[in-house]
Amino acid sequence: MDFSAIAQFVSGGVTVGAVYGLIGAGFSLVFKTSKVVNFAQGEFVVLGGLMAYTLIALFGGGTFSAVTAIGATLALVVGLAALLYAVLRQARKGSDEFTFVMVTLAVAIALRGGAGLAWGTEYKTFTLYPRGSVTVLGAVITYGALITLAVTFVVSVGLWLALYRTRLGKALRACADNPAAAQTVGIDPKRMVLYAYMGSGLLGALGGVLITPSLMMSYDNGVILALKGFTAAVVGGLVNPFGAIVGGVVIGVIEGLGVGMFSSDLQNAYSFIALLVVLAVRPQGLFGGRAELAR
Amino acid sequence: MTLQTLTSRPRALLWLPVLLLGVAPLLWGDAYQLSVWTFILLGLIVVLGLDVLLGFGGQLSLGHGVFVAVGAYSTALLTTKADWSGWLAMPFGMAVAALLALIVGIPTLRLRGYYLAMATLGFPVVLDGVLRHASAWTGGSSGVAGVPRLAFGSFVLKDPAQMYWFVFVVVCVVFLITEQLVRSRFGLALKAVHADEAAASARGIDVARTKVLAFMFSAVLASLSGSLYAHYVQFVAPDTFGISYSIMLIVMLVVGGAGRLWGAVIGTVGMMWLPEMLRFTSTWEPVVYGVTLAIVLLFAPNGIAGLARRRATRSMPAGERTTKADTTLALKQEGCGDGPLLTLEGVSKQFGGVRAVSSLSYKVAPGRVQAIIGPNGAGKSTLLALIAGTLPPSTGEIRLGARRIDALPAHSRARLGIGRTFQHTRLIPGLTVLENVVIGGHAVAADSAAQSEALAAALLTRLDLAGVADAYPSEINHFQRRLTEIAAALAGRPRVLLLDEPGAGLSSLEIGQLVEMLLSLRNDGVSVVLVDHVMSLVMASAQEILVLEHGILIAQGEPTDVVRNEHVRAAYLGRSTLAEAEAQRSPASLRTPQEQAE
Repeated sequence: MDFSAIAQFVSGGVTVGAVYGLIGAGFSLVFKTSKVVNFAQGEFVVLGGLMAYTLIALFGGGTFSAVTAIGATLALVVGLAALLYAVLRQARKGSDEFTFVMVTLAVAIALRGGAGLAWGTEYKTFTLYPRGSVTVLGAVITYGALITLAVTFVVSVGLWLALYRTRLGKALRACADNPAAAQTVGIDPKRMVLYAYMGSGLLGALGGVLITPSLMMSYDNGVILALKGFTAAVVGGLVNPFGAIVGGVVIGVIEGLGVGMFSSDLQNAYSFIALLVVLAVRPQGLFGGRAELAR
Repeated sequence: MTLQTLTSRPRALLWLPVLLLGVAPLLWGDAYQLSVWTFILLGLIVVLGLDVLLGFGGQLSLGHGVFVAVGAYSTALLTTKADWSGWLAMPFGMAVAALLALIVGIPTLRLRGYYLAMATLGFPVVLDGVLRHASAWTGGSSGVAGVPRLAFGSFVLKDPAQMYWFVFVVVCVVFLITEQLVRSRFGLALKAVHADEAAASARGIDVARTKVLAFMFSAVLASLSGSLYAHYVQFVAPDTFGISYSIMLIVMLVVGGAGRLWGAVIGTVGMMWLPEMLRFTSTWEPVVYGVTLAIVLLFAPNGIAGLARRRATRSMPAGERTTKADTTLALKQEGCGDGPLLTLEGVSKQFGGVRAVSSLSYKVAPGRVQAIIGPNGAGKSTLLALIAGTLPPSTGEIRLGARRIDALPAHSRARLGIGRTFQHTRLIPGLTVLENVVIGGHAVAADSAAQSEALAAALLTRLDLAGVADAYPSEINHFQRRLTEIAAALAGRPRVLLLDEPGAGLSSLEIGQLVEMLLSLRNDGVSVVLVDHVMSLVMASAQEILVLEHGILIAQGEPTDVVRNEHVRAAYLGRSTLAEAEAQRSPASLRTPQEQAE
C-alpha cells in the first residue's frame, strides 16, 4: 500500500472525524451541565441533514438561499432540542438521572420513527460545496472536505469563546461544576441546561448539514452517528467539548484507515472497538482528569 | 426464618401471569394465535434476563438483540453446516453470548454511568457489518435456511403446538431460576449495587463483578431464546435482530415495570399481543413506541407493575422477631495475635497541590476504641477513606494484621475485616432495615442465608432496632438510620470498625446511647476507629485519641492527656473547653459542646 493511499484514508478520516467531533461536543456539553447522556443527539444530526435537504430544495439555488435554508434548519433543530428539554422537565419530581436518560432514548426512538415517515427510507443528499479539489501529499482533498474542516475549526473557536469569554459561558461552566453554588449567586441551573441542550442541537444539526452532501443521510443513521459522537466524547474526556472534537478526529482516522486497509463492512465496528479499548485503557479520555471519574 | 420467607410475597400470585401464558393459546385455538404466543414466550425469555440486568441491577443494554442473534446463528450454523445436534449448539451459543458479554461488560461496567448503554446501542449495527463481512458462512443478508426442528431422540417437535408447550416449559424454568436469582445473595448484592455502588463495596460486594455477571446472565437467556427461535422458525436473517428489536425489548420491560418479574410478563404480553390483536401494523409503530415509552417514564416511571401498590414484605409481626442469638460470640475475633491490628506507615494522600494526609504512621491495637479528632479539613475522612480503600494512598503502607492491604479494592478490604459507616448514612433505599443488615453480612461469604439473617436479626435486637426491622430506611429517624448502618457494618464481622462522624446531628440522649453501644462493642472485642466532632462522644468512649491538623498527626494519647495538650487546644478544642472535656470523661454528665472549630 503506497503512501498516497494512506494519506487519502487519513484525510478522509479527518474530515468525517471533524463531524463526529461536533456530535461529540454536543454530547459533552449536555453531559457536563446535567450528567445526562442524551441519546437523541444522533437524531439531531439526522434531522439537520434531512431538513437541510428539504429546505435547500424548497428555497431554490444560489448561495444566499442555501445559507438561509441552512440557517432555518439549524434554528429548527435548536428548537427541537429545547423542546426535548421541555419534555424532560415534565418528569416527576425526584426522578433520577436514569429516567432522564431513558426519556432522551424514548424521544430518539420517536424522532427516528418520525423521520422515517417524513423522509422515507432512502438515502438523501444535496449539493452544497463547490466542485474541485486540492492534492496534499498525494491525497485528493475536495473543497467540501476543506469547508467541513474550516467550519469545524471556526465552531470550535466560537464555542471556546462562548464558554470562556462570555458571562453566559462562565455561568454555564459554574453550573456544570456546582449547580447548588451557582444557584446561590443567581444563576438558574435549569436555564443553563436548556442552553446546553440548544447548543448540542446546534452542534448536531451542523454536523448533519456538513456530512450529508458528501456521505448522504438516511432516517436511521442517528444510532451509529450517536455511537461515534459518544466515542469521540469519551476519547476527549466526556466533559470537555474541545477534547471531543479532537477525539472525533482520532476516531475518524482510525475508521478511515480500517475501512481503507481492512474492510468496509466493518466500518462501524472500528469505533465500537475503539470505545471498548479507550474505556479499558484510559477511561478518563485523553484530556479528562481523574477526578471526573469519581463523580 | 430464611431469606426466602423474608422477601417472599405469595408465590401463587407471582406465578399467575406465567401460568396464564400457558392457557392463553387454548382460548384462541387457531394456528395464528399459537405462533403469536410462541413469539411472546420467546420474547419473555429475553425480557426476564433484561429485567435482572436493568430492573434489579440498573444497567442498560440497548443491543440485546445481538445476543439473541448469537444464539440463533450458533444454532442455525452449527446444525446446518456442521451437523451438530441442536442440544449441543444451544449451550454453545449461550457460552459465546456469555463470553461476548464478558468482553463488552468488563471495560464498560467497571465504570459508573451509561457506557454499557452507549456501547450496546451500536451493537446491532456492528453485528450487521460482521454478518455481511463473513457472508461466506452467514449467508449475509439472505441468512441461513433449513434449520432442523428440535427433537428428543427420534421424537421431533413437528407440530407447532408441541413447540409451543416446549417453549412454555422453558419459560417456566427460566422464570423459576430468575425468581430464585433475584432473591439470592447475588440478587441482594445486585440491588445494593444498583442503589449505591460505594456503600455496596463497603459491605464487601465486588461491584464490577456483580454487574458483569448480571449482564452475562441476561446475555445467556437472550442466546437461549435465539436458539429456540432458530429451531421454531427454521430460518435466521440479520434483519430480525436489528436495532428496533433491541429497543422493543427495552420498551416492553419499562412499560411493564422493570424491577418486578411480573412487570416483565405484563410488558411483553401487552406490547406483543395487543398490537397483533388490534391488527396494528403501521409505519407509525416506532413513533408510537417512542411516545409510549416517554409517557410511561414521565408519568409512571415504574411501569404498569409499579401502579400496583407495593406489597409490604412483612412476613411476620416485628415483635416476634426477638431472636435470642448471641451476637457476642459472632463478633468476637479470634487469632488476632499480640501485634497491632491495623498499621499505617508513612501514609500520604495528595489531591493536586494539597496534602490531605501527610506521611502518617500509627497503629491500632485490638479491642480498643480509638478516636480521631481535628478541625474541618484536617484529613480525618480522607484517612478513613484510605483505610477502607475508597481512595488509594499516594504513598505509604497499610497493613491489617500482617497483611498489606493498601493496593486492594474496597470490597476486598471489607471482606478481610474492615467495616465502615459513612459520614452521610448510606443505606439501600429499596431494602428494609433487616435486609440492609443482611447485605452487611454479605462480606462473610461462608454464612448461609439463614445464618446471615439470624445474625442480622440479633444485631437489630441488640441495637434496639427490632421494632423497625421491616421498615424501609425512609421510614425511620436519623438515629435509627445511623444505628442500622452500624449494624450493617457489624454484620460483616469486622476486625476494625471505622465510624465516620456517627454523632453528627444526634441529640445528647442519643449520644449517650451511642456511647453505651460503643463501650459494649469494645467489651466484645470489636476495635473501633471513630472520627467525630462531638467531644462528649469521643471523651466518653475512646481510650486513645489522635489529633490531626492539616493532615499531620499533632497529638496522640490518653483522652485526658490529649485535651491538656497545648497544641491541641490551640488547633482545635479552644482553651475554655478543657474543664468541659474532662467532665465528659464520666458518662454520667454527657453534653454536646459547641463545636468550636467550625
